[in-house]
Amino acid sequence: MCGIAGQLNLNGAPAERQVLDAMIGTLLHRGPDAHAVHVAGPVGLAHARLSIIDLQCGAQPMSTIDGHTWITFNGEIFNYIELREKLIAKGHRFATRSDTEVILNAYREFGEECVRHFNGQWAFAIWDERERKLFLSRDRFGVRPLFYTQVGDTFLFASEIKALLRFPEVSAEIDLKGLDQIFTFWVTVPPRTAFKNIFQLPPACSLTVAGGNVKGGQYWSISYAEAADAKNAHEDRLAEELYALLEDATAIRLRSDVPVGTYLSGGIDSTVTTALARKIADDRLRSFSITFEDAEFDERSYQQEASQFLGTQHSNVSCTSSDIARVFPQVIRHTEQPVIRTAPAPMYLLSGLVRESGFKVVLTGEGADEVLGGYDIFKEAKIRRFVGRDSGSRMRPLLLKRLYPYMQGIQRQPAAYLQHFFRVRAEDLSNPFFSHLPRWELTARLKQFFSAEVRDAVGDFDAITEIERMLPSEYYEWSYFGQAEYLEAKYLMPGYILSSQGDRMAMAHSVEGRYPFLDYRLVEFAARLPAAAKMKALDQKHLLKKAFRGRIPDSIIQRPKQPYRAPDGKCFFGLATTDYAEELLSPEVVRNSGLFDPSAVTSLVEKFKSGRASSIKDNMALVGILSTQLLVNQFVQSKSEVLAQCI
Amino acid sequence: MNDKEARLAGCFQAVFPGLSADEVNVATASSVANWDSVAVVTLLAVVEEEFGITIDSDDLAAFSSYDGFLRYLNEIEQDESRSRDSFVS
Repeated sequence: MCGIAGQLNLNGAPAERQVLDAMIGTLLHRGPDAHAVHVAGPVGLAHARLSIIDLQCGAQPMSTIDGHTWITFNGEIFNYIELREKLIAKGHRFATRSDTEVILNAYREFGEECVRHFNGQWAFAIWDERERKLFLSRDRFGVRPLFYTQVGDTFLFASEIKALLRFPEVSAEIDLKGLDQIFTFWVTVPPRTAFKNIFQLPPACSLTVAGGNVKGGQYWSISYAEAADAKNAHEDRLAEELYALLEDATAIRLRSDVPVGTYLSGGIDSTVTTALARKIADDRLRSFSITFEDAEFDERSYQQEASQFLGTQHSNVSCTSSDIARVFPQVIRHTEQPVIRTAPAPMYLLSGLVRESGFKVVLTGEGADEVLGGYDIFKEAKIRRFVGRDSGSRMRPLLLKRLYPYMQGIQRQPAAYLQHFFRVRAEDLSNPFFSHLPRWELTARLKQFFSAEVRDAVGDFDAITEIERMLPSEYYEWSYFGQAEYLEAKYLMPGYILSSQGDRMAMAHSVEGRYPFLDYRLVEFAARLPAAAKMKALDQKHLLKKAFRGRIPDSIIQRPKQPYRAPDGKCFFGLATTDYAEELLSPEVVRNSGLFDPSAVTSLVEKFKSGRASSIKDNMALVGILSTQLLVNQFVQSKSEVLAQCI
Repeated sequence: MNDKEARLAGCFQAVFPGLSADEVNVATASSVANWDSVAVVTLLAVVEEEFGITIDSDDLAAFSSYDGFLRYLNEIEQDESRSRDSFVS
């Protein structure tokens, strides 16, 4: 895993080594082992390396043996060994054992279509000197980040936005429509980012810059149309197939020239991943987890049980509310976008533990909930739809009590309250976003904190209407379950789970996460399964549980779903007030940033200080506003200060 | 056990995973430990999904056993059959 950056002057002017040095200098946390810059005429490629495969010869930027094609690459191509053999059979020569060189030769063999042959997680840029073409690509699910911008005749790209901001003419300005999207979906919708005129390459997309033109395209998409053969297949056969796919996905993700550890949260997904890694690697596996002082969030008993059952050498990092408050500014420096929850902060601490323990690579269970029907939002949608079909029924709302057992207050509420709380409305049944409306509408209520200026600037922009226009035409033919899975995999997963909570938190401490559940073969298989195989009755991840019964502890298979959460607003205004939060949320600073209404923010802060804030909305509002203020402080204002110094 | 009965038994086993095939056929509110109003509603949801129907009854007593559910499904089938016949004639 690495950091990449680059520059292409469309007018032919020479690329500037000094600029590239500065850009890559901001990404050394992604690649502390070595860094280098290659400049050739109008193009410059930069690379910061985290050495994982072919430690001696895998340095980048790398070229083909003839020197005509150059690459800077962040990520892993897990099927590189098989691809290398195929390419050798076709006459290609290799100077290294690295997957980087496999990409180069695959590009030479297949052109831009080469990405269809890759099974992995990547963001790379290839400079094709003969065609004078820059080719950028990002993996199917957006595991690895890739941002770009254009200033005049200069095209720039990088793994993180902070590298782009080192180019003097790139300004740091909050994109207000992006902010509106975050305060709806928790994420921006690619290619938009939280910064104006800075874009992200969407997952499964490539971009070509040639002859002064920038042209993008999607090379892969997923269908949730249920496969006829899967509909009729016996569940046992499907479970076997799932097991085999997951075993191979894990095996190729253990390819590494440095030791690989695992995250072990105590849930089924990471336990499955760890069990397979233990079986395949067949040695003393290291596993890592977070524990919380607050019992509401803590899962240590399950972690210990899983570790003992699987025989891993386990380490954990303890996380308190004050730890979250302490690291939150660094967390936002890495997320480079506002967050609505503090959950990335413990992940930041966890990657720190991994790195301190001498590990650079971990397997994790990310993707299982999206791919195999694990999230509560899928169950919630199923129940809401059942209740909404006969909204006058007295019995049906009782099923809403099956949701969120850890939210004790819900269990005691009358049916009418539950229907209102879960936004069960018959008129929503035909809405294409039925599954996600409660989450989005709840989050959108935070926009009441926006300043009048932001509301004016956003105008009649409607984030939900915008994504409705972007839905694939076949979306309306998929099952309700498939539609919900698509929305989750399309928006929250790349923008938050794999980014703010994933790549960014791991790479902050130079740790690479690998995700067996996001092997595209497994994802394609799972997407075509009947909904009932993934959620039988209300049993989440039914098929995964079936596939692993007897292979992991029964208690972990049978335990109710506990979403990964962390303490939120009270971290900043609990036992002790955090100085920076007090300052950044003060009326004067809020007024200066211009994004939020100072009096509304002051009221919210007072609510926390007096201990009256307890709702989900209050917590999301505080974290969302504070993280936005941190973003402004760390990026927008600091960029202005740097520019002022230059002038 | 015909196809309808087998599918209904599958619904019961999805809601009450500990129930054996023999126990399903005689399952009642008093014979199954976790049978409560929420379990009945869960069964209604699962049966609706399995058979692609909407159960328009709010009468908990009608669904107090495996037989009660089976009776309901049979009635629906007969109603559908009658309406098909009247349409044809």
